[in-house]
Amino acid sequence: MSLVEELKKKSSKILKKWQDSLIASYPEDTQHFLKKEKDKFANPVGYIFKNELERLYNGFVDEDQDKINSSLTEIIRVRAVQDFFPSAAINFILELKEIIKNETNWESFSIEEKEALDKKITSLLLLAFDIYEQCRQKLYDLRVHEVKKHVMGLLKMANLVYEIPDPTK
Amino acid sequence: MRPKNVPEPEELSKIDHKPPLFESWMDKKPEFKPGFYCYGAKAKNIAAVGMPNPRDWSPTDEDWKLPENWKEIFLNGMKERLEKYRSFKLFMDICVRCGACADKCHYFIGSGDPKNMPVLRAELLRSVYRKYFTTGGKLFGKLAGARELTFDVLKEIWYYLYQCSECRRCSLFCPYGIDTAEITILGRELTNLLGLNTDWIQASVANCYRTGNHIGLQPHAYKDMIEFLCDECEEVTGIRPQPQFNKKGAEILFVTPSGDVFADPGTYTCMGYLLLFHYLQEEYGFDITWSTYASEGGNFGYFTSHEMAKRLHAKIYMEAKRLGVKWILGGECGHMWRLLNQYIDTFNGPPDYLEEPVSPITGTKFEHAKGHKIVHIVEFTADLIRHNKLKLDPSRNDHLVLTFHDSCNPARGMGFFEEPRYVIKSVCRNFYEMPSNTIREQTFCCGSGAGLNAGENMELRMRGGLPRANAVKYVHEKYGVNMMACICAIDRAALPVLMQYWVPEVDITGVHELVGNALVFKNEKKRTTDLRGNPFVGAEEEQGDAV
Repeated sequence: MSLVEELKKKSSKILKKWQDSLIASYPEDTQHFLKKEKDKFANPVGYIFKNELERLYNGFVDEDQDKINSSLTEIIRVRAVQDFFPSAAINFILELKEIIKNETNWESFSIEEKEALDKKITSLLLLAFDIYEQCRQKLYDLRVHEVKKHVMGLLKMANLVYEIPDPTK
Repeated sequence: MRPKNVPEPEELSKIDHKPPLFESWMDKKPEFKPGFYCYGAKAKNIAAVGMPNPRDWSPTDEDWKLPENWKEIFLNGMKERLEKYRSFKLFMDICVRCGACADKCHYFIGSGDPKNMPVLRAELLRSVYRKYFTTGGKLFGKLAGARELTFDVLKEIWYYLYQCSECRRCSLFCPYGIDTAEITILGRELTNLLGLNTDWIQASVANCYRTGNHIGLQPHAYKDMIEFLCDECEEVTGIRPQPQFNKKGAEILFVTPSGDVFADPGTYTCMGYLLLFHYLQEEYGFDITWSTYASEGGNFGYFTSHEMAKRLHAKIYMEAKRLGVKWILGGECGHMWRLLNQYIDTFNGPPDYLEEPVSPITGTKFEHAKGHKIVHIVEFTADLIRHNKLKLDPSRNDHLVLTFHDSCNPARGMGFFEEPRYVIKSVCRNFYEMPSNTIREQTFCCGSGAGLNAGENMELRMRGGLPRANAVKYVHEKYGVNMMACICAIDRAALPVLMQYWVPEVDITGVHELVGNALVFKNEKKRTTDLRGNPFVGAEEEQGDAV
């Protein structure tokens, strides 16, 4: 059985371990809540992690880049505003490698297959880094935008600045 | 750059979060993380209102420049409040730590930080209470859940008190009815005895006390801004509202949060008020005045101390008395509303010089406002619509697919659920509710209430607002919702940013902006856009045909 076939066959087991490892990055009291509460509105973080990690895994195995991008964004958008150092926020990608090694017949795969997987996970990690950076950038943009909006609004209303009219409007 | 002593990613992710034996949450020192706290109050803003210990300080400073006897001040303050507020004493005593509140706080749900669980947040203060005010705590210390008040404990209490937006969602689920918001309110009072507030709150308080509103707009600038908004109304509708300012003998005084006057999208809500008042003036001779002195409906004093809240809101009543109005109409605001309804009679005494509010147009008596003499504009407008006093064209809001965010204070604090929905459904044709466990009394906070809508704590705001944004995302994906209405100025300031992070396709509006769009004037010009300049459905094609 090829590595990709085994990843598909054992997907539920690998995924469960991966979800557990992501949730293990939270304090114990919180882990219980994230796993136990099934209502998606009462527990958005747990819900996002469960569903989006599944989409991410399927996208990863099927090499569906759109699925990978959107699911990874959903997860990292949450992690980017929580109490994590950047490296810890995206480390769950590296955990996948360990889980696959432990849950499959790792020794039976060819060196080419292993290298290909390694490469795919590295790409995923780099993508995660980019997304994390985009989320953080977004936060800074929002801060700046909020201040600028207030100041400009006040200046305009107090007739202290004159805005060039747009002739097309 | 990664600090030197930080472990490698693999080590970080494998940290065992189980506390070691005999080490509990009490032993963990607080760690201030950027993005989760606001800057410390500046000396000038503390001194401006005569509050204790004015000096510049930062939460990350080693030395908070506290008075030498800070512990005594804190504990005496606690003793005084335990004697004064029976509820506080009760809330300190009766929690059985059942955990019903634990997972109901939006900050816990979004952050996963156990100290954001309401029970544990309250326990930070409760542990000190036990140590100094209960026999069990004095005798058995940690075994009885008691601990010394040390500087680290004070820091931890401060860090988490200013991560609570006093939304009281947790209290809804407490079998004993413990109001954790009230614990936060009193806890914050204690920190203010030591000069420990955030500058976002303290500057607003100082400005409001000195100038009349949070931003420090002087009377002439306040008037100029409203005139500017009248110009904008004229551009869209062809009608220029003629607001009255500081008019003695007017029937009604109007007071709204200053955010409506200067910050988008509140300004569009303000245009809605101006158009409505103008309509009523033309049709029914409505006599209402704005005040350039009582120019703030909000009250950041409430996030400081009861005394400060009383001092700030007193000006609204003093102005009503000076002008000789009959009663007061209040703009779309959240905490202003709970304060006026639930505190003001006790704070300042019933304003006997005002009359029981009666709508001059419909004759409706607002009996619930008999004591404090102030009516929320959404109640007032709902009554007008109910009596068919407004000509409305809801199709003018057809470009919007709406949902409604129940603001914590009016909704959970006061049961103010139906009026805003009634108004929205009268002026719009596309309305969808968010899931039931995220609205009405179970509504999720915007994540920025109780003075937490500063810029430097953006991460806190975003994660605190995640449960709300998550429900918005759901109705956006399911029904195509592109606009969320609310009746709170902090919501109007905070939610647009929250949406841009989590659901950028959805924008925020006040309810009276929607009323302003739908209101049909006798002599208006042919209207093609809403108050923001966005074209009505069908208007673009008409324009295209004309070309």
